[in-house]
Amino acid sequence: MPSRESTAQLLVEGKNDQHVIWALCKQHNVEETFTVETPNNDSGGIGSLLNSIPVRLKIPRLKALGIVLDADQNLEARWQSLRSRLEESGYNNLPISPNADGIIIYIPEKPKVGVWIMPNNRLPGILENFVAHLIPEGDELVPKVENILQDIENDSLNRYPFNKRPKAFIHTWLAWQETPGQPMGQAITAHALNHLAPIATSFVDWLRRLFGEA
Amino acid sequence: MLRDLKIENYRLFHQFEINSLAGVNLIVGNNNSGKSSLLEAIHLLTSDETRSSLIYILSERGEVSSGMLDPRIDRFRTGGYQISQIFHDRLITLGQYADFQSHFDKAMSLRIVLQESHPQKTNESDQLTLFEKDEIVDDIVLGGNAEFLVFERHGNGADTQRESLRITEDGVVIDNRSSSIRRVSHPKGKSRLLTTNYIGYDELAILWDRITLTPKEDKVVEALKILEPLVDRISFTSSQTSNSGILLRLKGENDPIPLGSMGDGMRRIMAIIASLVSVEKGTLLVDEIDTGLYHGALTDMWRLVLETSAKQDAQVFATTHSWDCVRAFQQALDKFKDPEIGRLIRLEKFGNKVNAILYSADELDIAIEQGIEVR
Repeated sequence: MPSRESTAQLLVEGKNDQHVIWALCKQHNVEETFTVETPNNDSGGIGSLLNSIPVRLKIPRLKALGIVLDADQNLEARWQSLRSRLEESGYNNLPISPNADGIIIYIPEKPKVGVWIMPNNRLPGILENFVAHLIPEGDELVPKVENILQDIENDSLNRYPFNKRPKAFIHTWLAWQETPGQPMGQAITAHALNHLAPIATSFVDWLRRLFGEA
Repeated sequence: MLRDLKIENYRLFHQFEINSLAGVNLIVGNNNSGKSSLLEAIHLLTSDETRSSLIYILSERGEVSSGMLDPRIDRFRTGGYQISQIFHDRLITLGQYADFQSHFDKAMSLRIVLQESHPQKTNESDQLTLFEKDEIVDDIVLGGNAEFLVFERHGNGADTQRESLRITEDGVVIDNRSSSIRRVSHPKGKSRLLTTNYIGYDELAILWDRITLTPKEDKVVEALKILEPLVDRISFTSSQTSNSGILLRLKGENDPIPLGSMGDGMRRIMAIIASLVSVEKGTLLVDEIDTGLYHGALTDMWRLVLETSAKQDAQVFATTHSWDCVRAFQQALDKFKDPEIGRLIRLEKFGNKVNAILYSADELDIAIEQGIEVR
């Protein structure tokens, strides 16, 4: 059974996104006017998230739906596949490419829709790239992490594929903090990561515009 | 089969439109969003006896006016059915109307309109056949200022058919049978409306007469088996209550068991399937289809409804409030050879307007799999 009736929902790809966003909202005192939802099934993945969008846009009394997804290798392609789902649901006149500060779409008598493509609506990448931008400026461990990844890659010792490198990076960095191996969300709460980084502020701004007067 | 429907001025619907109807349609929505009214509208449009269907609807809703002394005629007036509620603004004024239309698969329409005079002089005793009574509804009883509720039906290129009911100026269809209003029986024909009211022996017996000793009987036994796997045969006796008059033979038992001893769900599921097998190429409308059925029985109930509906070429519209019932519908559809036979429809009130939101079988799969609210 659907857990609760929520008329403002932020749809994200998985648990990690959920925890990072909850932690950021807490640090920025964002009002809890929306729930953060995941596709919530085993098959999971971007496909079931995209397919669920037309169904979610029909949720009774829904006022706003935010969608956070990874650009992965190709931001344009990701945006196009999302765009076509939104057009199916009657959202026309969508921008050709996403705005840097996140998209918000208003159509009369329809829920407001917001889109944020990780990391920053401009570059390819994933949630972990976004979180890497929260590492305090001039951090001395960053070049060390970079070197060690380079080293093992040069020796072909890395077991991660290239597209998972940002995960290897951020989790290596997190392994070397005061509380080694904290999950990303907790590292934000513990201020090991900087929630005031420009990318975080921009993201929180987008959330506020989307859900603030929802 | 109805593919689309337009309703104007009937109860909650000021202007209402729905397209892409399917073979089996499950309707959800908040209280007072128009679910029952939608079933009634479809019943009126698809009924073979529109006037009887309207009286049946009023009777099932309890929209009656009791007998009273009418000072204008200084005479006791018998009770009747109050029609004002069927109009969107609930006013009894000349020209007041309710309109029902469908264009596909075949064009048909029904208009119920209040007129001062009889549209065409037809036999006065027409009205009386409705109540199976030979007493005359005279002008004195009607207070001399009677109006006519006229039913105009178009369809299939045929001429307009007109029928009428006399009503008092305050909108009452007089029932001459007695001063207390009895529940009326279901009109004959290929459109059946199952309300949430208790289904009595008489109704089931009438259906059963045309089912017994035909292959349809097996479907009804199959329906009862969903709740009681040991049911083997059904029999109606002369004891005319649905509790003691309908007997079931259970495998391994020597004595038959009265239906009434087995819980409301048994009578309900029997009524649903007995009605469905009785409306070949017709329409079945069921209000709160899961009433009395435990959630474990719902998927089997839907499976049987889907199969039987496809086999009978009968269209089904049912309502529910329950997530279990929606999920059971999806599970039954998922295993059915042609899931596109099913559609979920949510009615949503938006100010004075009712909107219909449709979910295909695929969309329903996603909603159930990801726990997305549809009601």
